Amino acid sequence: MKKKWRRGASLLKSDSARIMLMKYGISLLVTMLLGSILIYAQGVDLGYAMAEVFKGAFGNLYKLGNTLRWTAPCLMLGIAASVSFKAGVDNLGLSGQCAIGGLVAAVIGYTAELPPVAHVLLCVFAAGFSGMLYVLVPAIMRLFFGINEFIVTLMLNFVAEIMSEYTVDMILAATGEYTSATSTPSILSSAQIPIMIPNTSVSYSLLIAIVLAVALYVLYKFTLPGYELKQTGENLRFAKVGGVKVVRNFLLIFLLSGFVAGLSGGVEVLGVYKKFNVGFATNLGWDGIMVARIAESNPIACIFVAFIWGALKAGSLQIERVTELNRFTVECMKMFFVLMVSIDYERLYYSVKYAIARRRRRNAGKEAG
Amino acid sequence: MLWEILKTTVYASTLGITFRSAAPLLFGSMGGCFNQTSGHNNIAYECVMLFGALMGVVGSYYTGSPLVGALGAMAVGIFISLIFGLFVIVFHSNSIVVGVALNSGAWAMTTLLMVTLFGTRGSVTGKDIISFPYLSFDIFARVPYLNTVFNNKIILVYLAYGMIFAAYVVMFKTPFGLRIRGIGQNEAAAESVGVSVAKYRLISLALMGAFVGLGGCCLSIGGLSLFSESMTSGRGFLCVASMIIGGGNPLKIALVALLFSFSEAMAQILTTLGLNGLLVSTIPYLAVIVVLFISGLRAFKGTAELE
Amino acid sequence: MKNQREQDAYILRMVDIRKTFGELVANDDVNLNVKKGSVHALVGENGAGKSTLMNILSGMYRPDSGDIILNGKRVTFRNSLEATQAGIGMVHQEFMLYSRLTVFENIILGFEYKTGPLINRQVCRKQVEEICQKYRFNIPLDEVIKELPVAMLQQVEIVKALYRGSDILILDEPTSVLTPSGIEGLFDAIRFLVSGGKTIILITHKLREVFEIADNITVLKDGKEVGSITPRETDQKHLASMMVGREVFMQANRREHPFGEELLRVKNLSVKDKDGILRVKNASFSVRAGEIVGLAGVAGSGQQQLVEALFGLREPEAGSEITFEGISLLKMTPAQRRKLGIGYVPQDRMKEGTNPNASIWESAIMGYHIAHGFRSKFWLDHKAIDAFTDSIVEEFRVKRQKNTDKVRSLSGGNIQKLVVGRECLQKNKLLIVEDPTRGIDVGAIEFIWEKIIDLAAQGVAVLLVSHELNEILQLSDRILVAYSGELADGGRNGEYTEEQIGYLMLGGSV
Repeated sequence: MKKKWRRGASLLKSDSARIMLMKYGISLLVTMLLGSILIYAQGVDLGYAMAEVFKGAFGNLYKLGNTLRWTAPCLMLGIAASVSFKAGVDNLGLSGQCAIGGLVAAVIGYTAELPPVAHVLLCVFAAGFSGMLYVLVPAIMRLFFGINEFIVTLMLNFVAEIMSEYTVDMILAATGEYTSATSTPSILSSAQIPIMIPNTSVSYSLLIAIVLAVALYVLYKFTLPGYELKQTGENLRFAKVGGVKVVRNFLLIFLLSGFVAGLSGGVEVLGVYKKFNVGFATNLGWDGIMVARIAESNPIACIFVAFIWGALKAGSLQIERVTELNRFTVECMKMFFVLMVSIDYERLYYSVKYAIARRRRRNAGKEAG
Repeated sequence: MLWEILKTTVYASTLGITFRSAAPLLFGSMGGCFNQTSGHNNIAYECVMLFGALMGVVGSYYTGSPLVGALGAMAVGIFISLIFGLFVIVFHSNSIVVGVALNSGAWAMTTLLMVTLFGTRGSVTGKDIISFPYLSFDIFARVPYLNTVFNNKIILVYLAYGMIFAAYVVMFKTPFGLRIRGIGQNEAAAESVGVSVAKYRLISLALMGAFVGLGGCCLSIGGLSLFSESMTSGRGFLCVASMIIGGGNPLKIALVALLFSFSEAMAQILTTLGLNGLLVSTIPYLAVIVVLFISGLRAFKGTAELE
Repeated sequence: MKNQREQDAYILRMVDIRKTFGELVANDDVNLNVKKGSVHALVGENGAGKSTLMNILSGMYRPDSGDIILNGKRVTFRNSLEATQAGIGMVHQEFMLYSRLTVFENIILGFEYKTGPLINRQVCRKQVEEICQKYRFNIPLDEVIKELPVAMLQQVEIVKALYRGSDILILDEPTSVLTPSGIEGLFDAIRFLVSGGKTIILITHKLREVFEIADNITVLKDGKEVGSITPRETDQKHLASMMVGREVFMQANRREHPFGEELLRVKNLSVKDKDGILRVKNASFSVRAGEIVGLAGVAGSGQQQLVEALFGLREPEAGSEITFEGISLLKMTPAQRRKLGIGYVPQDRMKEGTNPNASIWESAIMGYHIAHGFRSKFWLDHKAIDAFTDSIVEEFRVKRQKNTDKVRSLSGGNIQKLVVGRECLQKNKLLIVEDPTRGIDVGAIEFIWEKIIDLAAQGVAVLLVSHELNEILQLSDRILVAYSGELADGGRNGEYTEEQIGYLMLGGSV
């Protein structure tokens, strides 16, 4: 028992562990504090609100299912964002790529008539490829014309949203079906991704997401192509001089990021909504970017962060149902958390550490003198 | 058909909408260009503008004066931009992440405030929210065409055009502008001659906050007296885009902003002609990409120059 | 009493200055006494603490302890502005200029005369022009900085400091970017400034310059002050030993040996830079096995573009020919060239040579993993990776804790050894080496020189591109001189004198 404790304590002696602790500890603390103020200001009992969020996220199997259901898209988009951030590519167009992927999956999902597994595969890959094609525009502009991708991808988000709404309008006009003003007809049952855990809304998308995260981790940690991608992202000139085909790698990174984003849209449509709702991806894209940033682009860490993100989403829906609070409170807390996590704690830590060391030395000098 | 479309480009109503709808973009980009030039990758414009729009409504609602609303919008803008500054300058956060967090939190925060203050979701409107009055000038009133284009706008619209001149003078004729340009090109050099990079960045951030906030309230109390969820719908990003394309020169930036407003106006007018309005409303966003592409064409070097 | 008078003669005294960065003690109770109207040289190896001391003086850093006494009064500078106002101006080694502003704007930025809120350009202009006239600087005030040559930029920096009313000018390694004639021009300017009552502090590690211009010398080593002397009391050898603490003769042991067949052949090579300007014009030369060919030249004479074209990083113009062992290299990627046995040590070890924020092994196998590969083309073979990394570490005496440490944690000399070692240990037939010893300590320089000579003795063809003429003269068997994109033949080593080579570097002919 004591030994274990000691090992824990010695672990805390390393700078990086302390920085980790500081980072997530302070972030959580400040977020809780600000969140409490926000909840208190709305006249709701703090403990009650927290308990409801927790209940909403983990209360029973169904609710845990809700958490996991939201974990899947957050994780996939987190991975898409991680891929690009690792390479120094600011792909802010995840929601656009996700929306296009979802739209394509929905259209193929209700038009093509295929046996179940083949249909799902076709839809999923078509979604991935359309996300990939969509990211080709900023990729080419960046690679061949040196145009910063972040503004282009940003603009393409708006284009994707408007275009998909337009497409939905056209489809509805053609079929004469009016299920809802802003969604396509439902996909065929052969295209649906089946439920993984019975009596919940968790489909096999979660499994796909986790497999993707692990695959990415393996790629970066254990393979030569992953090594080359890492070097390309961290020091492009260095990789180029070393003989790495940087243009190809750069394109690959763009395309992979777009593929995963498109895939996530497709999976979301096939597994959860069973149809394309306009605007379903808008916030998901940003969630993915925030998940990736909190996880510092580490795919495995993404799994945990996405899980927390899913829990917050599920919990926030619960809290709106049972209390006066609305789910924006939780959204605000997410913002606080991302802001706090974005702080450069390493720098903060060392500056504090050296300041203390200097004062100690000075004091020691005074005593000696 | 094509001829019809071409004719709409010079309709008085098209240009009138352009003239009016450019105001938030001009305020945003003229106020923000100093911050952009000083080297901040700031994309929190959407957040500041949304808060500005809400505060305009709130200020006007509680005091009955649109002027208080506008001042409130500027104040809240400064407050948010200083939060951005706190994280980016003091804590060395990645500016894009802070921008993303603020932008995606803005929708939640403003809606939360709207629900708390007004008790409604979706949108808030009412006769208690007073907009700026419309102004008319006799010189324009005499010619019907000019009357439609330039008259019956709120004072902020005219001020927005004054901003172009002001921003140009500040950027190129004052020590502040010179230093801001210097900081953007070489931080260490500025620091070495005793120009405090943090101080100038903070000032430029406050300017950005104030004027983007003001641009936001042009949307909410600029005639409609309405605030709705996410009502800025990408205008903040258009400010960012015009500043990137304009490359630090207020005149160029203003020109790009006007181009964006023009395509927005075209989208509205074409919808009235029976074309699907959705498709044409992509024009401003596609325009950004096309303009970037054209300015990039000159720089075409093949992939050999991939930095 | 005499002591008091002696102290009055000093315009500046720095007493017991101490500065630490984390665990590192950059200045360990350093003293510096500078006489008014003199040229005071501050010498020492890289990392001896010269720049730190001067950054403290110019207000960029604050010392942990110690005093600065200026004109007999104790002063503290909280920032560089206060130092500037006290009359201290610094010309940094890396120019502190704004590339897209004009010369005039660069000079006045931060110190503008105003009418109301606006800049009063007339008054500023007059001031600047007066200074230029008084100290005979001839600089184009309305040109944009990025259009100007380096020597001009340095003058801009000096005028900038004078415009701010500096009485003490600190010049940090001012000659490292200059041609011999540029250096002469700079020294003339320094003499003129001193005769006008200014005081100059010159940071350098070039001994010859110290003896040419300095009145007093302070030597720093490992953050400590080793001593203060005048040039008359010492000689170059003695000063060098003070700097490094042992007798150093920066002498390479070049050995005569027979050369093999011609490996690299370049004919009519023309290369444009990224702005479309022709930087290499019709260059033709060849390198034989076992031969070290030195390419001398002032920075920016087209060496960089030439090397980039040789290694496939930049496309040459039509009509150019590059062959290696008879095979044309023109259409080949850097990876293919590596596979043929061509190695490359890039000039900038942090930007091109390594990935400073990643592990040592990641930088150690770059290129090797393409040219030689590991057993698996897909999986990382950590055993083989460690073996190769360890071989570099051992043979090139890289001081490191473990292979997973960050490259950034190594010193400059060790990083350079890592890069050179990586390229040398791949059994390459041709090695292109660019500035292999820039900014590293004397011990590391000698070590790397030795290794390059060894390599050539084993039959490797070496193309050595260096901005240090001494390095070229020490190592090369044959010398080429680049001047504004054209190559001149510098003959076999020893065929021409150092002065003649220097003359070639400036576009003369011999």
